[in-house]
Amino acid sequence: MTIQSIDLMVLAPTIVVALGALVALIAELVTRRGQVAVGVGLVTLAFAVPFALAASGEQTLCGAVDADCAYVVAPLSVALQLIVLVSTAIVLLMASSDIAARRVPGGEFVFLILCSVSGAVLVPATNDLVTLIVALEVVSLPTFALVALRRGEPRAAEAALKAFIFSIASVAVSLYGIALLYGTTGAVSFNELAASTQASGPSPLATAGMVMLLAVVAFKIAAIPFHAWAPDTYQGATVPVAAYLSVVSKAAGFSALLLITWTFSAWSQVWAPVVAVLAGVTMLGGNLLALRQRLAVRLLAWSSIAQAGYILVPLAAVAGRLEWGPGVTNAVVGYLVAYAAMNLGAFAVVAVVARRTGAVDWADYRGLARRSPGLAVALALFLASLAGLPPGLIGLLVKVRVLIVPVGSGVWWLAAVMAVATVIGLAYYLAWAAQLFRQPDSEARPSVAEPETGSWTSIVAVAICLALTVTFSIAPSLALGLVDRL
Amino acid sequence: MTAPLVMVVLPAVAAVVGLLLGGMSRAAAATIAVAGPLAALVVAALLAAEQPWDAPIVDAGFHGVLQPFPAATVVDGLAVSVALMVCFVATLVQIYSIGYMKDEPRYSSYAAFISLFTAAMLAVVVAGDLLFLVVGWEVMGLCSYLLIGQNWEQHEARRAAVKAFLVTKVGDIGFIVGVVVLIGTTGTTLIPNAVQAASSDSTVATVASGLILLGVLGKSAQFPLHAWLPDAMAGPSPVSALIHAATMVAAGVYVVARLYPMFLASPEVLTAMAVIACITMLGAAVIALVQSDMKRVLAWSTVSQLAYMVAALAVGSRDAAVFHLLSHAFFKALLFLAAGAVIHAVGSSALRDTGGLRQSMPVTFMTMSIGLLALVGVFPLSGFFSKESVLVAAEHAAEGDEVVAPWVGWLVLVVAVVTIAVTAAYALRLWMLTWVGPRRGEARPIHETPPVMYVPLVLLAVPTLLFGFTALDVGALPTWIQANATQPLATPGALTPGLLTIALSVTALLVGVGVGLRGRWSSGIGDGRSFLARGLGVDAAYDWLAVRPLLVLVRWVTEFDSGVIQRTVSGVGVGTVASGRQLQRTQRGDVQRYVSAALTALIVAVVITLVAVAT
Amino acid sequence: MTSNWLLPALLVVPLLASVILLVAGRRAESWATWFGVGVQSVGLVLMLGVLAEYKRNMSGSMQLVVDAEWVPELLVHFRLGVDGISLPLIALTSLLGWCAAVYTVRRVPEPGRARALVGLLLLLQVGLLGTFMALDLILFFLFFEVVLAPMWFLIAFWGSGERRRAANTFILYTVLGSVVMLVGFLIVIVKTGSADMVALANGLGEQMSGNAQLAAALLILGGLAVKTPMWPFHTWLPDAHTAAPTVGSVLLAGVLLKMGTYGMVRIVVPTLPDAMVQIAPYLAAFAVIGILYGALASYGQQDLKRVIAFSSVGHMGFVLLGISTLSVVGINAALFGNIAHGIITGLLFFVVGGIKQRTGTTAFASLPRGLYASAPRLGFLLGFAAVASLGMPGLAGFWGEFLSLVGAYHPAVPEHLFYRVMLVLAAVGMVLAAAYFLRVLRRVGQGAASQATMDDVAADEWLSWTPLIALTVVLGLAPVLVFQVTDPAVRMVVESVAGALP
Repeated sequence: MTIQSIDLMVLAPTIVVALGALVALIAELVTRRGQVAVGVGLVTLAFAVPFALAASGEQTLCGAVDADCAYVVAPLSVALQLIVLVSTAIVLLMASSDIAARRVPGGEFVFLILCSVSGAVLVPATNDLVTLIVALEVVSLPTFALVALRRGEPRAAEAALKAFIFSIASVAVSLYGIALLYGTTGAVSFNELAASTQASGPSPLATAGMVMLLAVVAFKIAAIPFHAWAPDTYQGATVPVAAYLSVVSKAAGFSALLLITWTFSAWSQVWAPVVAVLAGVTMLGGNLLALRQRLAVRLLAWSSIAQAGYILVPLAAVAGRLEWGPGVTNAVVGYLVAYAAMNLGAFAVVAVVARRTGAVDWADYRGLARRSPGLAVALALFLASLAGLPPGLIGLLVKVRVLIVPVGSGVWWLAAVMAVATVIGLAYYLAWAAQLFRQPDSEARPSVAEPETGSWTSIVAVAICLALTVTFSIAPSLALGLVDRL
Repeated sequence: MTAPLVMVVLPAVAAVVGLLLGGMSRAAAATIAVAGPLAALVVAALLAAEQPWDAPIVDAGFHGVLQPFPAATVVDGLAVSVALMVCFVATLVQIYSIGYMKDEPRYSSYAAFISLFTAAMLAVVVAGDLLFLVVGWEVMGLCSYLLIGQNWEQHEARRAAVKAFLVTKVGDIGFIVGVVVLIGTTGTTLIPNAVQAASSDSTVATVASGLILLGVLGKSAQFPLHAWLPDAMAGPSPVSALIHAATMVAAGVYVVARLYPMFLASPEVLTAMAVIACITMLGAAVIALVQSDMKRVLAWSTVSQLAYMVAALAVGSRDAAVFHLLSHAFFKALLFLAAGAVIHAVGSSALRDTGGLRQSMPVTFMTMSIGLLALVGVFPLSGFFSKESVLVAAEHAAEGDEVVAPWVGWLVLVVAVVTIAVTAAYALRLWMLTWVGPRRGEARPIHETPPVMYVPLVLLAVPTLLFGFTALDVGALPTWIQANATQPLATPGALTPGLLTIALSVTALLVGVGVGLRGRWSSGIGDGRSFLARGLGVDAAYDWLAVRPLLVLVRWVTEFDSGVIQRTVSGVGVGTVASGRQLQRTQRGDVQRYVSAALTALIVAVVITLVAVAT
Repeated sequence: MTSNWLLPALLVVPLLASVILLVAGRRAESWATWFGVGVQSVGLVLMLGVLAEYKRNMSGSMQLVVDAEWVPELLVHFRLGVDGISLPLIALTSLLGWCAAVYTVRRVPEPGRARALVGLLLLLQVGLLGTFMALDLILFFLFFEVVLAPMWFLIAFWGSGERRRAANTFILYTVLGSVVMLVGFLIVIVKTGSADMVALANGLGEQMSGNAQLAAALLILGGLAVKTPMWPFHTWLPDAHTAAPTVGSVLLAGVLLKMGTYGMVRIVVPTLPDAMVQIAPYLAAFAVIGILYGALASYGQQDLKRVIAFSSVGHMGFVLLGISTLSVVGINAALFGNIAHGIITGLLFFVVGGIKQRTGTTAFASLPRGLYASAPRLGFLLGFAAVASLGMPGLAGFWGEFLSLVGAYHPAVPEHLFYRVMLVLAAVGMVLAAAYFLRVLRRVGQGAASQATMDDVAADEWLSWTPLIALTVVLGLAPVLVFQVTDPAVRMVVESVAGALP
């Protein structure tokens, strides 16, 4: 394949973000103020949004025939890019307080995160296996550094190392998988692969390759049993980085999964059971393991693993009569949108609380409603949304949306597992929420009401997430119909 | 609102007012208490003036959308005569209570419950709708519970109240189901229509009347659901008078009379009724013979006398049953009120505390003697005539003139005559132990009761003496108690004594008196603890057959609930948390183990899909 | 003039009020309870407006309908309406909400925090009213779920004893139930392409294949059965009642349980008639087991609140029996039983709450004897409510139970003999109900008072309880007040079943 043309305007979101990363690094070097880098980062992300919207329907990096482009921007791609961009902006707001307090070097932080984002906005529009894997690694590589970027925290390095080892394993698996696919079909482009799978039934080697690609995605989205790096890594990293990993990097993973499953939709009877098992194990395992957790960030780590299980459900249920189509995409993207808002919100509150009181354990949240009613109410809403319990309506509705798919296609056991998992999940979300409203302990640690500089940005992050969650709850179509609107 | 409903509502209103204004003065409470049944009595008299025995006053209740209640009423001769009796007795009971319950702190609610009781009974009497009937029927059960338990500080009263409610309620299972069957099969709740429809189908008639009979056995205290009534004397004496005469027990007999055509369509049910009545009649009379408590003697005598009414119904004579119901109401109310007077004076109802009271309580003595003579059935008192009518009916049946087999008539006739002898014996025993002989018990001055208490006795003695004559052919009663709303039947002369029956009953009576005079009663009052005195072990049977099994069931269910159902649910919860803990052991932090687990999973997935694709 | 704003207003007013309380901050503590009374009074007035606008002669069809597309991706419409089946329940909810608000003014349970308590009660009200108004399956489900969090907080924070465990059992168990129900809803939606409850009831649901109907009906009934609660899914109820504060118990027993049986009549029976005809005998069997089991278990309890909780299992058994007959009489009886149980058990829990407030306990072992003597009026009310609850004719509790029996004599389904056996067993249950209530009265009310005097019923208690007392009598004497509203709607429901009968 020889590239015939490169349309920079189509690639603009990635380019803008990459350039922004450099600018942020330089800006910090020049001004010696981390917040400037954050500002640059936010502007960059805002700047990338119109480009992303404008590129809808375009394609570039094309070969000889038009149908053979490496980069194709579908409405789905734009939706996922928007999730990535907005989420990252929220993460930057969260991190800004750490940066202002000089716990984290601002320039490097923003640089690394934007580098990762430049990959993440690339992923949903890639149209061949090689580009996809490269983009995914662009997402991952900076995150190891981000995890390690926590000053005075010995666990950070170990956490980064764990993620790194997993990543290496996944790269190896992905290359092996591509090799198998290319060897059997002679294609790496999604269109060609799709054509070839439609033409012939699943061949053993090609299926092996496909399963390996799925495993790679499972690493990225931390689906059980490819998840084990996530809790340790989240805990080792700063809270904003954990938030980034749990939302943006996961969104990139789901983008890849959507592309791969679309490509192999003709073979859905082969991959859907694999995804179904993955979804079931992830939902149940994630929630069960969360049950006993009492550390806020670690609990959110398990929770986000379990949530990934729910997002997998629509794809898993394709094995039934339901075809891979807009219904499935909408369900996945809708859930991702809602998940981004509520999960980032929970992380944002945890970040604020952790900074104010050094709280890591549930017990530290006891009586939060007394000390900071606003934060407590916000966290309660986020937890209710994650649990799928009103007043967290959007969380409930996206779960309903997801559940329709296995019900519609008759994958009953998966619907049952999801039902059970939801109930288990409710147990720990509620237990945490209960802490917030309990009377504070008599020997509660004194609330360190630090008038910290820049801590308002974290509050803004919470507020944005709260606003989004409430808005989505009132107008769920904004999340559930996002793809159709683009 | 129609007159029959007004008659029901007036005492009910008195009850509600009495309850709402619990703190009012005693005089006001007493006025309201008497006013309720008295007003109802006036309405009943007005209704009687319309001569409903010629043309029943049938009212289908409120019509259209706004019908608030299934309040259809039927007032015929049967209804109006029983209503008159109920209001009369209730009024006297209320008046009597003013004196008897003088020191009762809860007089207001007591009187209100009596008014409510009266209202409920009147509801049963005038009900033209099965649902209306059920309401009255059940509210009566409630009132009996409340009034028997009036002295709820005492263990006996609490126990007796609960027993009365539950035993009659057991019968009500049958009653309720029977009413459901009746409504279900006939498609109507109006009593005349339902009865007419049911009596044309013998299966329906048998099922429905058999089931309803269960309720009747409970309310009218027939074997085996009779045991609550003797215990019910734990309530104050006026309450006993009301329950034993006018309300509770009368309701059972009355309902059979009201639904009589349906019962007549089922000889099986009538036969069962006859057998039950015979057992009850004689058994209760024998038990009454050995009681050591005045009120208990009277209570068992009620059980026995009610059996006469049931027997009359069984052998096909509703008129005889109703006749005996009315006459019994007068003399039994009289007896209980008189017993109350004695208790009032002596401070105890135990026969070991009475004796020789004749001189000190002349009015009570006279009236109670009249009552006892009526109970025994001495000419010309009302009890004589009414009992004779039952015997005549049995004779008819024995001759094969009724729907039941002749042997049923013979059985009833023989048992009824034997029972007359026993009745004479226990009545005589009671009379002697109370009024003659030496004075027993603590020495204290005995005075006649105040007028407010003895005037009702005198007023009740009048019909006890004279009521019987109304049943003669020249009298009005045979026409009166026709229940032509449900069945226009009247056998001319049915209530007139016959020669054979007079001969039999007089013989039996003399035998009974002879036995009674020979008994050395005063030396052997007994302590009431013998097998016979305790009612032939029926209570023990209740205990073994119903109470204990039920308590075992309760224990099983409670244990099953906490041990199986609840443990299953909490076990699921505990198991879930435990499995979470087990899973946590896999998360120990060594990265090589994580990676190898993930890769193993991958390999397994690849192998399985390969196998799946290959096959 | 169109008055379609009435139903949304009934929801919006308490919702806004709870938001106001949320943002008002701590200064609202002093006026929160009065605010609650005000809001509930407004709700009551709106309710009267609904009653006034409601056309009784058109009780069979939906009235005051509001319909707006909300989430097209899920086919969800914001669709509200009221007919003869829902109107009594909506009225009951408004009334009990008001009673609870009045009661709360002077009796905020430990540990105080009136603002949060009132806010949660108002939120609860939104969920309850919404459930009874919703005409869209998903919307119904959402409102069904809205109730959970407030009730959980009520039990977990204002309860007593093992409140946290009880609250968790309550919410996890009922959520499991409602998720199961949701799967059933989704089957219906996927198979018919509609979530419109009216359209589904009017024949759209019947178009589903037999197996799909059966699966959906079993799942939906299963979920609703947990809420009702039907034996053997009742375990959450006694614990929840024992732990809950008074107003929590009142609303739990008074309204929450009704959501289950309401859902059956509103959704399952008319939408899935073929399946319902198949399931009905089994439902009847479970109902009767519940009646007997509830009564026996009640007798064995050692705590006043647990006795009443198990009695609810029995009473709801009668409601289920009525539904299972699929007959006009039976379903009318079930709807009446719902209302009667709400009023009477609400009153019972109020009174028991009053006892608990005075004595600090509801356990028989520690309760003083002789309430009749130490607090005659309170004792009278306990007796009154108990007598009403055991099904005394002339009071509201009777008609639902009796008419379920009448319904069971002539069920619309063919198994007549089986139903008649059930009828007799249910009648036995009525007697057992008398037994355990008399045991309660004997233990608590009667006997020499072991505590000389006790504060008798206070003015505010009279105020909040009187409507319930009055309704118990009024509906007992004039059951037709409810039947004239329910009957036309029930006939519509039964008509939709008629085609499914063999």
